[in-house]
Amino acid sequence: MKDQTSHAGLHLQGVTKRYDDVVALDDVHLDVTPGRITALVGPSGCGKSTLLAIVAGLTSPTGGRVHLGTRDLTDVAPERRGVVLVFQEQRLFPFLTAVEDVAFGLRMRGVSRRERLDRAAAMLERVGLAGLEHRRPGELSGGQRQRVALARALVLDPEVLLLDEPLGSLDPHLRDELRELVVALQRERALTTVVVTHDREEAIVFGDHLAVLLDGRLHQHATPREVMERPATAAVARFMGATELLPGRCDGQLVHTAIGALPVPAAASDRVAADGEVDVVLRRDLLRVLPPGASGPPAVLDTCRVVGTLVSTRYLGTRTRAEIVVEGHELTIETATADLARHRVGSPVTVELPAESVWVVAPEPRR
Amino acid sequence: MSALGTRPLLPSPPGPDRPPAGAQPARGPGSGLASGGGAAPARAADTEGRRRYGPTLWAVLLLTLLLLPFLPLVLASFSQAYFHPQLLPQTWSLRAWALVLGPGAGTWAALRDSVVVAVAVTGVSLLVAIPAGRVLATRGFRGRRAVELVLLLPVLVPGIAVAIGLHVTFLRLGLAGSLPGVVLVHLVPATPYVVLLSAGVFANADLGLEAQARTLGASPWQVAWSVTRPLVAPGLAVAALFGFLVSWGQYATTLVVGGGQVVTLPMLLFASAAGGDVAVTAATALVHALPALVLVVVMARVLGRGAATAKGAR
Repeated sequence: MKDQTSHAGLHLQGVTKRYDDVVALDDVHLDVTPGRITALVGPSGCGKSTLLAIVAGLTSPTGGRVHLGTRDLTDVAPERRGVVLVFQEQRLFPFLTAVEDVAFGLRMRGVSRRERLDRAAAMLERVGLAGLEHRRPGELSGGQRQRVALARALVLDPEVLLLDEPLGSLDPHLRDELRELVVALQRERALTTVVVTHDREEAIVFGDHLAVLLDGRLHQHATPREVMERPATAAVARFMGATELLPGRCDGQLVHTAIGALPVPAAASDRVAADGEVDVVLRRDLLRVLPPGASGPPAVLDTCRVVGTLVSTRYLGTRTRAEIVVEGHELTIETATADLARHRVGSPVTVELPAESVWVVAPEPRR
Repeated sequence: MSALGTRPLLPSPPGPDRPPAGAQPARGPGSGLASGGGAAPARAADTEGRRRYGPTLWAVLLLTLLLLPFLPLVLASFSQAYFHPQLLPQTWSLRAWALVLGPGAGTWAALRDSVVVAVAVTGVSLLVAIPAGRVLATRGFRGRRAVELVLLLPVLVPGIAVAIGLHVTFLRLGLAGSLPGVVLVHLVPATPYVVLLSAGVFANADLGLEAQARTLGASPWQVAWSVTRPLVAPGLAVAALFGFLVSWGQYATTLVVGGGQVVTLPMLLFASAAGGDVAVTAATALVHALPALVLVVVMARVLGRGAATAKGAR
């Protein structure tokens, strides 16, 4: 069964979920790349756990279909999907030992006792829990429980692995370790995996692809780099953070904003109308503050400069956050601490906006 | 022997609508059991010393308190003459026991009927309580408060009132004076306890484990057997124990609906108490109390072991 479908992708077509008059998921279309990790990211309450439950078959969608390869899963019982969901709170069976717990799914399939315990023990060893086979959930730490939950899913060779906030209940120092383990196990098996997280950085580190879900709608599905550098919507830019949003008006090659006219990035030109309202997204981390006295035209083409007043700075270590007022608009930038060393609060500063720091998205409805 | 005027050293027999002897010891260990299962993780956090000695001390204290009232009963049942200022009977005798356990007293038949009725009541009330308890614990629905109130009503309304009311209907249906009739009337006070305890069991159980089991490949039947059953069985056993004990202690309802045709142990107990023979009353009371007590102790042992393995303290 697995051989035929191990490279089958998971396809969501127009998945919608309504609870009375609340729309939890609104027409979600998502093609999960087979053999890769897709990080489903969004703030809490955006519907990502609901989406996972729909894929696992624990919740039925109000509308839309779920396909695995050519197989329509929408009306298939959860136990027949070949999809395993690992919950954030682990949900180990309190009446089973670790090895029995990992063998649970095999037992449900009718695998003989000897074989399933052997396979479970081997899987426990793989996740680094050799020697803890006979512990019960209460005798395991949070990280160990999460490993048991992972082993319990992987021992079944699922076609799709769903992880709901797999690191959410762990101490920060355990997170990196467990994330590396998850990625290693996923790579070994080229397992199609969907990880739900509300943590942007975790999503970026985890995911080969990001699917950004906001208010029940899928805003963008792309590589982490693309999501960061070329957000599809203003909401994605705002959610992924470290950006400034400015309303602007497009006029051919330039977009006019409160801080001045900026060049429209070539890659964005197909996303917005040649003229009309847009939102400009500025990457805070790519804006640079020039040393005092630097002037003249920028050395690099497409780079533009604005002049403002330094209002305040906040030391963040290697970087410093600065508030700069440009043409009455307050701009927050994050730049190398050294760049700001020679500037005084209250003095004029020149901010350089390299081409890659500027992005344009369709405007949000203005209030 | 039991000369009127001298006060026998006996605990007064339970009033008709209070749960009699059998039910009383159940309260303590019963509720203890219920919390014993759920509080296991919290307890694990206790310090080593408290864990080792605390429970033992409490157990000794509780057992003393529970068993002390039985001491005068035991003494009285073996007495021929037992008068007020004396701590021990003046004359010892097996007369009362011979009478009570002998063929003429009907004790064995009453024991059998009591067991049959209590087991039937337990079974039927569980059949109602398992689905009802689950729904009450997990679903919010319109009129839920009302359902809970209706469930509590039989606990609030005196059993005798219910029994007298039902008697007329039962007469018409031909249920009066029959074992099924007595089972039905016992269900009135027993079911609320069992349903409410069952609701508590389901409220405390992590039913998310069922969804987890489904995604791990378990069919609904497999989930029921391999996940839900081990999850709720200990709690439901306590609920069942309560159902059994409530039925076991019923007097007034049995009297009215059974109409003297159905003779359970409480009927014999009240008859002998009214007869004024202290030794016979004491022996009958012990015959009534002992099975319930044994049941409670056995249940505590079994569940205690279960809780211990669940904690992994093997």
